[in-house]
Amino acid sequence: MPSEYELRPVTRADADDWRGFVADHPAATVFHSWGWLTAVDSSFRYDPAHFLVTETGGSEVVAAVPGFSVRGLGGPTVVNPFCEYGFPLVADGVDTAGVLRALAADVGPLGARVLKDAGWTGLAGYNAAGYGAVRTGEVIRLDTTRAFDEVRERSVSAEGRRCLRTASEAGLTVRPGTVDEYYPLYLETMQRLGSPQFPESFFLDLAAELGDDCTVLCAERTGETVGGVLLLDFGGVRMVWSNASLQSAWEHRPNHRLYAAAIEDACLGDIDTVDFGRSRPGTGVHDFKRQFGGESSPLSSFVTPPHRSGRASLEGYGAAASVAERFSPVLTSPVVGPRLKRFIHE
Amino acid sequence: MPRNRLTELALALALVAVVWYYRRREKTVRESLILSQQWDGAAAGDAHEPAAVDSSNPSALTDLATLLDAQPGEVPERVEALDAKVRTLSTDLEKARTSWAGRWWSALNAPAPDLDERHVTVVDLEDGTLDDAEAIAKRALDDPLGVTIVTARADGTLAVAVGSDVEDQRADEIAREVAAEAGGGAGGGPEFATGGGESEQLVAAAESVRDRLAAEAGFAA
Repeated sequence: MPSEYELRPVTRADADDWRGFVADHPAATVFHSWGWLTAVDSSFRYDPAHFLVTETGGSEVVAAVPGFSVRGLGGPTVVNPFCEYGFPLVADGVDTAGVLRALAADVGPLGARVLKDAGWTGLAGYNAAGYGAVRTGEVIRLDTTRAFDEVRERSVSAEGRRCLRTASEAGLTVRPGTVDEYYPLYLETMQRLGSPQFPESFFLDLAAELGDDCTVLCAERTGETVGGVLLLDFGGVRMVWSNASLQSAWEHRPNHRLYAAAIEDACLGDIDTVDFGRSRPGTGVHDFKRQFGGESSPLSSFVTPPHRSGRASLEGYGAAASVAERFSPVLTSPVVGPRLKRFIHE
Repeated sequence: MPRNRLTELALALALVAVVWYYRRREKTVRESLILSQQWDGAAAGDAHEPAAVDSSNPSALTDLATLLDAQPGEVPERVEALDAKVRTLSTDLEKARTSWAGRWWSALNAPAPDLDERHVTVVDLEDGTLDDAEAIAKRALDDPLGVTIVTARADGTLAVAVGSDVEDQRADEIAREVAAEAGGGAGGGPEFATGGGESEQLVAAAESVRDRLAAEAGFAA
C-alpha cells in the first residue's frame, strides 16, 4: 500500500522552509533549529538526513524531522545526536502514525532510525507505527513565568536553598562568559569522568549559529573561574545543555549558584521554561536537578525496526563509566576524544 | 574423521549462535514494543501504568528490573529497600494520622484569627520536622495579612511565612530573631525563611517574637 506521506530530503536550499515550519511549531526545541543542525553538520560531518514531510503528491509541509546518518558497526543509524530531543514536529490534524510509518519505510536493510521524545510533547503513534522504545532517563522542566523569589521559595528545596546560601557566603559570583572561558572547565570535567569530549569548534559553531541564544555563565570566586554553564534558548525555553566546575570548588556549590543564576535570568526575561536536560533517576546529577523543583517528564528513544532498539540504549555507556576513568588520558586526549565523541554520538 | 567432526562442531556452534541471536532479538522486540505501547497509552491520557509482571514470563525479572530502573542482579536488593521504605512510610503515616487528629481537635477549640486585619500566628509541631514546617508555612503564604511562625521540635527547625500585604516585615528577619533567641540561625527571603535552634527554646522564642509584633507593630496575636 503506498504511503500517505512522502519524505523530502532537506538541503541548504530548504533552510527557510525548515526555519519557518520549526518557528511556528509549539513543541519545537533548539535541537530542531537550523542553527543546531548546522553546527552539528559543520563539526562532525555526518550525512544530514533531515526530512520535510508532505502528503503524497502535495506540497504543503506537514512535518519536519531532524536527523543525521551515523555509521556504526551494525549499519547506519539516523538520529539527532548529542541532545535530548529529536522527535518529529507534526502539524495539527496530521496522522502522526502515518508520518512515523513513512519514516520507518525509509530505513535501509541494515539501518535504524532513532527518534528521541519526552513525555511533555504528548506525541503518540510510535507503537502503531511499529517502533520499539528504550527508556533513557528523565528531563526536569521548571516554570519560570514567575518572579525568581517565588521560584526560590516555592520550588527550590530546603537543601537547594541551603546550598545557595553556602555559595553566597563563600562569595561566589556569576558573570556572562565566553566559550573560550568555558571550554577548559568542560574539558577538565570530561577528563575527570574519562568521557570523550566535544571539540571546542562545536561549541564555537553553536555560539556562532545561535548568536544571543547561546549563553555562557561563569562562576567566580576570589578572581578564579570555578564553574560554567552553557545555555541554549529557543522559543521561550532555556536548555541547560552543558555544565562544568572545578572539583576543588565543589564545597562552595558553584553548580547551584550557576543554575540559580540561569533560572533568575530566565525569570527576568522572556523565558517561560528552564529545561535541565536528561539525567537518570537515582543518580547524583538527577538529585541535584530535582533540588530546583519543576516537573519531571520521561525520556525515551523510539527505534525502527524494533529489533535494533539496542542502538539507542545508554546502558553500555553507564557500564563503561567506571573503566573509562582509568583510561581517561587516552580517551580524552585532543586526538582521540573528539573522534570517539563522533562515534558515540550520545 | 577429524574434518567431519570439525564440520559438525562448526555447524553446531553456528546453530547455537543463530538461536541465541534470534532469542535475544525476540526479547528486544517484545520489551521495546511493550514500552512504546505504554508510551502511546500514556500520551493518549492514561497514567504511566507499569507493565504487569507475569510469573510465567521468562523476562519477568527483566521487566521488573526495568520498572525499578536497575540491573536484574540488583532487583532483590532494590525490592528489599522498597519493602523497608514502605514499612517506614506506613509507620510514619500512622503517626501523622494520630498527630493530625490531635491538631485538628486542638484547632477546633482555638480562636480563629481575624483574616481582615494583620495577625501573627505561632504553630508548634511537637513531633514535626523542617519538611512539615515548610509545608505549613508555604500554605500560609496564601494569607496576605498574616505572619506565620511554624516551629518543628523533632529536629529543632522553624519556617516563617509573611503574607504579600504585610510590607513592613520580612520573613528572614523574623526567622533570624526567633532562631537567635533559640541559639541558632536562619536565612531566606522577604516572604519565606527557614532556620533552626535548640528545640526546647523554639516555642518560647516564637511566642516572644509574636508578642513583640503584637505590641510594637500592631498585629493581632
